[in-house]
Amino acid sequence: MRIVIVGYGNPLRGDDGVGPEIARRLAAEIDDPEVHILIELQLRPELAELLSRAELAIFIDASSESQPGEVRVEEVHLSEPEQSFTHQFAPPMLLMTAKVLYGRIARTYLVSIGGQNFGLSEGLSEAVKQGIPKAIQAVRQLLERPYHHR
Amino acid sequence: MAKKIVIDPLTRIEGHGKITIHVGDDGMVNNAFFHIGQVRGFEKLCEGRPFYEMPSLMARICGICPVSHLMASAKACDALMGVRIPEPGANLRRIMNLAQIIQSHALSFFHLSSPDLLLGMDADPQTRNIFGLMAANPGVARDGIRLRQYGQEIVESLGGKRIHPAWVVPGGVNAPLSVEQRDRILSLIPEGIDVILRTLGWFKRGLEKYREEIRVFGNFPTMFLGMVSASAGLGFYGDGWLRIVDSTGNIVADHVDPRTYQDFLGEAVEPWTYLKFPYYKPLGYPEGIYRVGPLARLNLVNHCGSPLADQEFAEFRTLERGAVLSSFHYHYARLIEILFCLEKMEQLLHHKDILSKHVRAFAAPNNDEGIGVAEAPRGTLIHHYKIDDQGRIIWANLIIATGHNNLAMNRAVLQVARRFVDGNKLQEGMLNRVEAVIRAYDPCLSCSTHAVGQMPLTIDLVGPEGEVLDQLRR
Repeated sequence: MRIVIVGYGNPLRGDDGVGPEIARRLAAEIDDPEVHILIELQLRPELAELLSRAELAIFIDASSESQPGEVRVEEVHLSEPEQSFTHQFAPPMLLMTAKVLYGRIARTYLVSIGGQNFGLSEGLSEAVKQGIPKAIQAVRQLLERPYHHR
Repeated sequence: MAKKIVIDPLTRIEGHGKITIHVGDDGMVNNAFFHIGQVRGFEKLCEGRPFYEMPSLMARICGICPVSHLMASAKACDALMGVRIPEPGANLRRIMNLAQIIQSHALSFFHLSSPDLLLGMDADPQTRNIFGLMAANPGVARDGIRLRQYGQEIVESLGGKRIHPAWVVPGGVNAPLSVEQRDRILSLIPEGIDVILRTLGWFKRGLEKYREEIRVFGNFPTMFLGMVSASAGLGFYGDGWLRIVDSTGNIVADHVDPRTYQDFLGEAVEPWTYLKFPYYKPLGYPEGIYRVGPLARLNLVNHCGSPLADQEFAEFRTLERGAVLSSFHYHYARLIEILFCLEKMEQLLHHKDILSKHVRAFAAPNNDEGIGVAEAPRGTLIHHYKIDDQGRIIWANLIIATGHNNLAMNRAVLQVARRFVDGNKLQEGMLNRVEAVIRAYDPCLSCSTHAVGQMPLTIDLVGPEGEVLDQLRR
């Protein structure tokens, strides 16, 4: 396994389910033993160990800060630890965990799609649905880019 | 002038809770309350649903221990159907339950409580968290992650997914175990045992540092309640009987059929919290206080039921002559239970019929009332359903482990506050001890996956007119 893709979010929270939906579509399209695709409700500290073994990691998540359907790609960097914690991590915290505990980290990107509805509901809003092909294209571009672990 | 200290929200617990500490004119703590300010309503939500949906619905109560709700719910449905499920199916349920207890206990001990234990109760709150733990002792943090991974992998392997698996169904499980699954799980056990023995080693070596916390962390006489196995060992699946012991370790009630729980357990209500207060009816409320969970279980059983865990159990029981009373030792008991779970899984996986295809019984409802009881990571879990002639739920009652411990948690908070909190001066380390005693019980308040960690912790010292006299913010 060289590449790990994690689509995460809660499908019972409307557009928050877009990460898992994209991961599902990618899993149907990509048949490569080097690519490990995961669907998660939320990020767990246990994923840090996986990040330490991969060369490239791509997280896919809904964003409440972007316009509905807007796709953004950004590289994820190590973050300063936050004071409080239960059992949920953000990508920068996962990277920090991988670095401290396992000594190496994957080059990591976050592909985000702006969401519209995060209330208790199933299904994606129209704008978010329309953003999915662009998000998939963004993931594919990252996969084609030369990379190396850090 | 009387004052009130508020800790809201509590951090590093499962769910949202709040503590208020009332301080008298003399600066001494005179009362303390542990509030749960949310209501879930599952007992009402399920009314009208077909009974066979209940395991899947009830698993949604919790993102950490969904398997426990699956077990208790499926057992209640077995009772509605009036079936005796095939033994291989029961053993597969047991294996999944043990795996979940491993991952839940590992979360509680390593991720939530070990920062207090390894970095010290008085450590800077900016570093007294899992990242501080990683920096100070990366080996312990890696061990915690490994044990959680292990439990999660087994649940996912059996149930198809890690959270809310649908594999446990009324009548048994919906798929048998494959040779590959069995061998994969077995291959992981030796490493898991190494990890937990290593953890028990450093935990026991460090106990001396916490002599004062052990003395006042919920250290008071109560009864203890839980299910024991047919041989009076640890019986998480709940197919033995209920036992109750008192604070001296004497058996108060034994061979109790858990289906009769309403005869001896009452549920009291207080206006300042949504969490009910179960109590032992013969002693009344609140004198009928009892505790459940890892500490209670090790106070109840005659032995664990596996070789290495039995050795640790024997040492554990030398802590006191009667029952071990300090709630600080929930941590210790949790570690011994992880060891037992690993050994027990190995025993079950070597059972001659474990690969049998006969894992489920089928039947229409034959009874209009069913009760299912299992030991969840945090203690005894009771699901009780009544159905109409169409098999639809008309009434449900759930008593969850955290509820059983409600009286004890409140008393523990008061005890710690009296020892460590000086009402005239708020100090981080003192208030953390008040939180830490709650963490020892590992309460699962909302059973939801919302992140308490994203909220700030604010502690207010409030006068009787509502004026803020002192405040701490993290």
